Amino acid sequence: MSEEKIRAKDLLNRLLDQHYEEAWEAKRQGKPVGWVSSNFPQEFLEAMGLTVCYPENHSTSLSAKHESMDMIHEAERLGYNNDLCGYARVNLGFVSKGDCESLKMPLPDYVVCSNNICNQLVKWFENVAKICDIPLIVFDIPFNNEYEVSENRMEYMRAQIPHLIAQLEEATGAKWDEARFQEVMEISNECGRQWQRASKYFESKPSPMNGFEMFNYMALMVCARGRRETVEAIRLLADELEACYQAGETTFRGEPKYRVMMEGIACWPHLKHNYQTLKNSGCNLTGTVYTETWGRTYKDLDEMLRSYSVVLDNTNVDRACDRRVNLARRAQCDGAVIHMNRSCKAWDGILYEMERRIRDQLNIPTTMYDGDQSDPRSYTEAQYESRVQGLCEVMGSRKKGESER
Amino acid sequence: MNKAESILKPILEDVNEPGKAIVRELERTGKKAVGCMLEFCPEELIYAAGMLPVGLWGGDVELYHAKRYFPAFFCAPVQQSLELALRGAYDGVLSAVVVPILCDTLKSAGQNWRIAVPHIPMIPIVYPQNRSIDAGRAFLRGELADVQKKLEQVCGHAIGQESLEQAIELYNDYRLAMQEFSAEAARHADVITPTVRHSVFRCGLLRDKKDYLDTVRALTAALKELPAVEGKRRVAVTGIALDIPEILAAMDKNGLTVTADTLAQEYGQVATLVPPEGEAMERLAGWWSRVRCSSLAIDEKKERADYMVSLVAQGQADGVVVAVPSFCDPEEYDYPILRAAFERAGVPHVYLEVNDRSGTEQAQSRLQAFAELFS
Repeated sequence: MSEEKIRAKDLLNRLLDQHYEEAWEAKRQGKPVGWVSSNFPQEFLEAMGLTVCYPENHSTSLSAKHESMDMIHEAERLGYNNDLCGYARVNLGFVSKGDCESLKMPLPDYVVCSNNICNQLVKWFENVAKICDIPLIVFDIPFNNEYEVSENRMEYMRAQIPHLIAQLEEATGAKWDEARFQEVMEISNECGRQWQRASKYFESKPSPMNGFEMFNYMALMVCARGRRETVEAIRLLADELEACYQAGETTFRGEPKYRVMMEGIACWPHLKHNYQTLKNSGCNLTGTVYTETWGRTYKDLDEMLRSYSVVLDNTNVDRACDRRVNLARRAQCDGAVIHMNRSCKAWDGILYEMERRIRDQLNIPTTMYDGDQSDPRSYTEAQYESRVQGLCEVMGSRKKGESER
Repeated sequence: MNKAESILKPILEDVNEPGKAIVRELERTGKKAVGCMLEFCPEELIYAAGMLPVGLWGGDVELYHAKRYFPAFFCAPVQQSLELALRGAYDGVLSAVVVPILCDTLKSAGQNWRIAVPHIPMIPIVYPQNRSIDAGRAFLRGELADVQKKLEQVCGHAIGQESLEQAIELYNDYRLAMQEFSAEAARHADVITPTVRHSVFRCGLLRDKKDYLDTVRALTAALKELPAVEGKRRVAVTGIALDIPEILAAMDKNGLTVTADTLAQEYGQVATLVPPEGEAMERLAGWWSRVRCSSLAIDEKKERADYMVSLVAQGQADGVVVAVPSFCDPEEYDYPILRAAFERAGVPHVYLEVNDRSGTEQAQSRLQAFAELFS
């Protein structure tokens, strides 16, 4: 009997299931389970062999499975304003209920976070720590007002490491292992390299994939990018994309007329409608900084810290805009669909300026729609459809103009 | 008009027309002004540079130009400040603006200001989350040194160590004077209404601290000469700011007396002294690690909730007013924790969403209903 070839997608699902199963097994064995923010330098945790879960991943999954409103209602009942981050509201509702329907995650024994995603994360995790009466461990990665990461910031990050390790040791009883840390950094680097490889095909022309598929793999990059099995899953994805590209095939189901960049966190509760509307208009997603950010590689500790410092919403507006412009140029995007994500003030506060610069520097049309990463109430299908239609009309007329020239 | 009232009259006038007050102060002192956007700025550095720190908390202005930069769901003071800047209200008035990066909104506030108002330099300062460890204090010293360098470019000379030490002492004296005023004000419900109390704090963000220190001391002394009149509806206020005239007037009308607050704009400005240990910059950095009961400074145990409950438990207030600016996520995260603590302890409280001067009717009705609890 021949062994059936494993596809990257199957491996992804298996590893994600395994991730939650490991956390439950740790609970059963009486070991502490931590909750961690997504862009925390996971290398420290993996090196200590800690079992952790990622609430942002969990909220994403519940939102995509249309289960976020139960949690959001619970959070709002407790007094959380509907202005707050949808991920946080889903998670704080989950903490209160202690359970959910489809993706069960153990409650934490300690929480660990960085503020390089946003400051809201610190407030969110502070509340979880208070409600659960557990330690809050913060690795502070300050906002960069300048284009480059200042030496003062580098020094601060370096100086916090002994404090971080001491706090983790105290909260978990685990010990620091420097050799393992070096090994995890190597694995994480390889994972980043494979992700970059996959991203290169995702952005290539013609694209071998339906770009929305990249969102699925991001979950693994969030929760297990320091693990060898993740490296293999992402390598498999890159291999599959390479094979598709070489064969001139694509998983995009439709006529790829336009290549679009999507700006902002995915609108998870309505992802299917996002995708279908674009697909029906002949738009394939070929670039997004949201997934690009996980292709992290570095040579040493300083470079690793710097890479965590310049994540998406932690940079000044010039760097943020350059990142988008470079990506759209590299991925040869014909236009951009921009998500005014009601959840994310860290992103939205410079979104108008980013849209202007994308338009001005690339001379491509853009459109903006209202939505939310978790709260389905912030989105209307009609608005999205009409905005995409408008974008396609402009992209179409420009293409027509180009072909006539 | 008694002595206290005669001291209060010009204070109330300045708060009603802050722009006019700042221009007068600039002409009077011959100093340049530096705007301090919202909560916590290192005012001592600005003062030591021979410049006048003035609070930038927005104003009563319709948003038009600011909409090019901010979506609607950003807090009013930040949007209004940018709007006023884009309308030229600060031209010839402010020589720079310091933006403390204390929340996600202030990150983009600084960035948008730099792009939209390039003729008024924006000086950012990031405060550390890990504020009680050496690494955090060292980082803040570095940030303060950066602010110092940029302020020196604005004022055109170096900020001397002695000037900074003097500014720290002045500000500590001012903080102590305001603390004493606050304690005395709580005993004079007839004179120090919520509007008046707010104005005394707010005026401190407009005037030269050296002169205003004398004014506040004189006011407190004048109050001490008056017979004590205890309020029947004493409240403690918590939040970022409660500076909407219509809401303050509703508090006045409903007989509420503010006996304590942790508002970032008011008592939050004076609650924490700069510690005496170390050289000047070290002292300024040490101040941040001492800040308590603020939604903007990490508070693992949420001591703020316990503190507010203790004010009522110890008899300093009968209830709590929670004033949350619209779209202010640090406050919105704290509120459910506060609410749970109040409910557990049986502390009456009212939640006010504070935005701009339009649409304050709901807050006014809530205050009326809240006041009736103490009838």
